[in-house]
Order: sequence, then structure tokens, then C-alpha cells
Amino acid sequence: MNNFVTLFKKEFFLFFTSPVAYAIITIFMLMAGFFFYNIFAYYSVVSQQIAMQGIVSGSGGINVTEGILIPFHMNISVVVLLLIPLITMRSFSEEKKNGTFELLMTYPIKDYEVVLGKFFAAFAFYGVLITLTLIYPLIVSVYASIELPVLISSLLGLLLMGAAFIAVGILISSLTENQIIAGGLTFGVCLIFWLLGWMETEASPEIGTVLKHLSLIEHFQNFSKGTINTKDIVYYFDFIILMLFLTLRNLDSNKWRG
Amino acid sequence: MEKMSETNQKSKKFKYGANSLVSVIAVIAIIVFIELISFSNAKQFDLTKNKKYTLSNQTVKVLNQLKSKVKAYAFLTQSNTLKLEYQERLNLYKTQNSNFEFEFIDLNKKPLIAEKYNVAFNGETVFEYEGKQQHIRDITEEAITNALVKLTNNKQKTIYFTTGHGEYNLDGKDANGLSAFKKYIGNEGYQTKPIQLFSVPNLPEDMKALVVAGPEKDFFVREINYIKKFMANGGPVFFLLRHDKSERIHEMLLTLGINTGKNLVVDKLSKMLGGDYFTPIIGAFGKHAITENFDVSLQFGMSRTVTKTKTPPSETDVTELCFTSNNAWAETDLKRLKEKNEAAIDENDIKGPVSLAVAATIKSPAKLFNIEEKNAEKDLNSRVIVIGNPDFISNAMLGVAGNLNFSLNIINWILEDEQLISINRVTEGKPETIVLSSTDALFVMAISLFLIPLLSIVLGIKIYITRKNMS
Repeated sequence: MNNFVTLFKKEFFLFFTSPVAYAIITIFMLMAGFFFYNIFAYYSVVSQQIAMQGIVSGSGGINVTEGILIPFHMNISVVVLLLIPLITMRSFSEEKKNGTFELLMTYPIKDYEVVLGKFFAAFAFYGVLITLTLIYPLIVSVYASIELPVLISSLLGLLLMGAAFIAVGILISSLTENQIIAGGLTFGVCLIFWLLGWMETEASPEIGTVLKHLSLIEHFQNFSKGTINTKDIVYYFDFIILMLFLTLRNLDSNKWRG
Repeated sequence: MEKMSETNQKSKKFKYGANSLVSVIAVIAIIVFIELISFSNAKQFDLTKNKKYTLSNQTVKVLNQLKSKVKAYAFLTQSNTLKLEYQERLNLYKTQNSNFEFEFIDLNKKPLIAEKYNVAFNGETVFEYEGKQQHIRDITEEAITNALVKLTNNKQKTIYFTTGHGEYNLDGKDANGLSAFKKYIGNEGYQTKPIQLFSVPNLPEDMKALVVAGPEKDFFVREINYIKKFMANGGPVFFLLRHDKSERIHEMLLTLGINTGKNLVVDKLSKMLGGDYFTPIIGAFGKHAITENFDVSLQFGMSRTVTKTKTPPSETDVTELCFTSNNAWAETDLKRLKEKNEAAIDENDIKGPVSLAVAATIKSPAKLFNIEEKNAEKDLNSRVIVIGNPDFISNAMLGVAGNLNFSLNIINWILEDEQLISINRVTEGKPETIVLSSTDALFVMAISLFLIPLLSIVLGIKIYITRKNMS
């Protein structure tokens, strides 16, 4: 356990010693700010129309949670899809390229401690990003009250979905020493899992249900609108566990493959 | 020796590889198993303020009573923006009772299936239960649950259409026929039958409503008495009258406080919009359950006015339902119109907007008609609809504008099925508006677009330089 904590700390603080982390934070906040401002300004325009003309068509009962928070977090989920490969691509690939991977494997640390240390370090960094987005609901709350339970549910969804992406990234990073390939492949695989649900209508109802269930974004949508479903939580956990288990198997295979 | 060690290594690798593969397969199998269990035993917690994603108690009660499979076929095109919301709602029904199943069918891709189920509307859903069908064109919980209530209700209501006076033919497939209307009534779960009032010894017991669709000849006194008797027992009647016929019906309706005018409505607006002077457009509606949330116009055929009399009896509650625009008027000089084909508004005419339909609820009709009925003391109410033209439900005009929805709303209202279950919930509270002043907008823009990204850039550069200097 101590090994895990040490490795976690090392990996986590390593993020902040590199300019890449700040570039990621800057890009993330720039994109989040752009989406937030656009959604917020549009909401304000609709509000003005309501104030001037009464209820405009299709805007009856607008509220900030549905009008700002949900679309904002949906946009954030896209940004997350783009940025997580940048966070995870270095985790194993860098070690492999620098030759420190073999060294790491010779330490008296268990494989799962290595995997968990890297996974949670990346997740913690991602957590920092998500925490930074709290500034936006805070800005909204200056003007109107936000439904706190929905905000919490949506944040939980973002964290779980991000964790699933990170798990994919860790697995792929363990497969190659090339960071670019690791990043590109992570993005590709995450995108496939993102888009699976879109094929639902083309497939038969049974296969469509399976595809929809496998889609990472479908589960997030439930969280984002304020509903917590046990099947969504179980899915994300299963997904993460499977990816981390495959990473472990891959690390293990390095030993016997020679 | 070297060869042996190579073989040994290979076999070791194979062993490890096989072990690894088996463990991966085992973990995947366990995960699939857990997923299957969690998928079929999912529990949802709705954290929204208004419990927007939770079914009402009424719906849960209806669903719990489903003993056999109900299949919902939702006919929506792929691009329909309501699909996601509808899917989520239907999923709640399915989660509550596995006997409820649904399937989305793309109208454009599978037109033959749509034809099989008599579906023509993007957003229409067909519910199938024990061989019965129910159609809805709304995606609200109220509409779905009411459809289920109608389906699970064992008694199918029968609507009788009078015949023998040159009425529009219930099975007629020509422009003046009512075959399309009959089909849509069937979709609502009602049965339709013709009836010759002058030849029946008694009114059929299963008659739940009577429709008088555009009689050419007047009714006999005996038939009028039958209608009065039916109303006295709480039976609803839907009159669709031609502009210059049915004198006895006119007199009977006068006693109820309803006046069917001896005139013909002329509408200049309709002509301007590509219609005819004699096919008035209805764009304004009276406040009534039938016209609630109605925001589509209607187009009628040759119409007479139908209005509330100045002094209706206290037992009747009459509401004028549909109005023409100001550009229309009711021409009373029918002789000149017929002979010279001329119409011009003068002082004898009724200026627009004119009322073309009324809905009335008659309290104790037996007392009002002064007839003795065994059920008279029960204080039954009768619902009556009078419309000044029969064309709007004909095959030629039913699909025009909002005619279909309006006519089905009428059928549901007279049978008191307009809201079997009313699901009242605060889904749309007072709008939470945020009107930003220019200073506020600038403040929000400065923080979100500049300040926060700038902070992270500055911090990043500072740490990077510090570390570089240190190294």
C-alpha cells in the first residue's frame, strides 16, 4: 500500500513539473470558458426574449440547470475525450522510451501497485481539471440558483467517464513506447466507445441495446440530467476494472515474453 | 541441449500465454455476468427538483396491472428531435414492468410497417395489447398512460353513426366518405356502427355516442325523440350539420341554447390563402378541454354559424369553440347567393369573427326535454357538440390543417375520455431568467474567456522557468 501511495505521489507531482500539464490546463480552461460563455450568453438572450415578449416558443419553463449546466457538461465531456489521451499517453510509454520501465519492474513493487499508482495519479490530475470547472456553476449561482443534486450527479458522471477514458489510456500506453501512437490510439478507442450508441438505430433491437449499453457517453447522459442509475455506475466500474486488468496482464506478459 | 532449452522456453511461454488468456476470458465472463445482472436489476435515483425522470404514482399503478405484453411501436424519423426524450420516458415504463416493450421505427426507412399500422404521422405511437391497438400522437406520460388505460379497459366503446338521411357514408372511400375518420376512431380504440334510427325498435344498449354526420333530409319526429331519449340517459351526441338543412334538429338544439344559423359563411382570408370563399379558416378557439393547447388552424367546408343563444337554459353550459377571422362573415341572403352567385356583407349579415362550433354540457337533459326516463332522477349529464359543417371530417378534408386532431379531441371529449388520467406535476415552473447587463456580460466573459486561462498560462510559465533555473 505504501508503494502505491509513493508511486501515486511521484506520478501526480510529476504532472505539475512538466509544462505539458499547464498547457493541458490552459487548453481545457480556454475551451471550457468558451463553451460556458456561449451557453450562458445564449441563455441570457432567451431570458431577455421571455422578459420582453412573455414565453417564447419552446422556451417555457427554462431553468439554469437544464439550460446551462447540462449543455455545459455535455460540451465538457467532448473536451475530456480530446484531452485525456494527452494526460495518459506518457504514463508507461515515457518510461519505456527512457528505459526506466525495466527499472520500475525490478523494484519490489507489485504490478497492480504500479498500474493503480499511474491510474489514480492521472485520475487525480483529471480531478483537478474538473474541480476547476466548478468556477462556472459558481458564476451562474451569482445570478440564479442551480440544482445542487443535479450538479453533483453530473460531476460524478464526468469523473466516472473520465476514469474510463484514463483506464483505456493507461492500457494503450502500456502497449507502446511511442507517446504519439499511445495518444492517438487512446483517442481512437475512446471515440469508438463514445460513438457505439449511434449505431443503435442501424442494428437490430437486441444488438442496438447492447451497443447503446457499451457506449460511454450514453451512461454519462443519465448522470448529466440528474439521474443516478445503478447500471451506469456498475458499467463504468466494470469498464475500468477490465481495462486495468488487461494492463496488468500486459505488464505480466512482458516478464515471460522476455 | 540448446534445442531442449529452446523447446522448454517455448512451452513455458505457451503455458504463461494460455494462463493469461484464460484469466482474461474468465474476467470478461465475470464482467459480462455482472453487467447482465446490473442491467436487468437497475435502480434509478432521480435527483431533479421536480422528479422529472420518475413515473407518477398513477402510471406505476396502471403498469403494475399489466398482466400480458404491451408492445409500443414508436414511429419517428431518425431526425426527430423528441426521440431521445421519448426513449427515456418509454425506458421508465419498461423498467417498471417488463411486460411493457417498445421499438422505434423510422417512418422513412420502413414505410410498409407504418402502412400496416395505419400510421402517417411522424411521432405517432401504436400500442398493441391482446390484439387491440391504440394510437397516440403525443409523447407525454399522460398520453402514454391514458393509452394503456384504454387498452387494458375490457369494454370497447361503440359510436353509432346515423344513416338514412343522406349522411356522409361511414365506409365511403370517396372524397365525401368517412372511411379515414372511421379508421382513426378505430385507432383510438373505439368501435363504429351505422344506425337507422327510424327503423330500430329500441336504442342499442352498447351505444355510447351518436354521430349525426351531415344529413341531407330532415329527421322524423320519432328519430328526434330517440335522440332526446338517448341524451336524457346521459348519451353524448356529435352533430355535423349542413348549412341549409335539418330544421327539426335546429329546433331541438334551440331548446338547448344552441343556434344553428341559416346562413353560409364567406371567408375572404381563406381565398387569399389559396382556399375558397366558402371554406373558412379557423384560427381562434374558445377556452375548452377540446381546444386546450390547440395551436394549429382548422379548415372547414361550407359552413353555417353555430352560436350560443342569448338566453340559454340554466341547465346548459355552452361554449363557442371555433371562430373565423375578421375577414369572414355569415351571408344570410342565401337566395341571391344561390341564384346570382354573389355575396357581399350588409347589415343583415353577421360580421366576423363568427362561431362555427359549440360544445355543450347539458345537466338533467330529461328535465329540459320534458320527458320521463327511468334514469332521469340520476341527474345525468349529456355532452353535445354541434359543428356547422360535416366536410371537415370527410376523407378529402380530414388531413387538412388540424382537422384530424380536432375531430379526435371531440370524440374523446364526448366519451369523457379526454383525460382518463391527468398527471399533474410541476414540470415547468416559473422560468428562471438571467438577464445580463452589459457590465455583467463583460464580467462573465472576462473571467471565463481570459482570466482563468491566463492564470494557468502564467502559473505554468513561472513553474517551468523556476524549475529550469533550479536545474
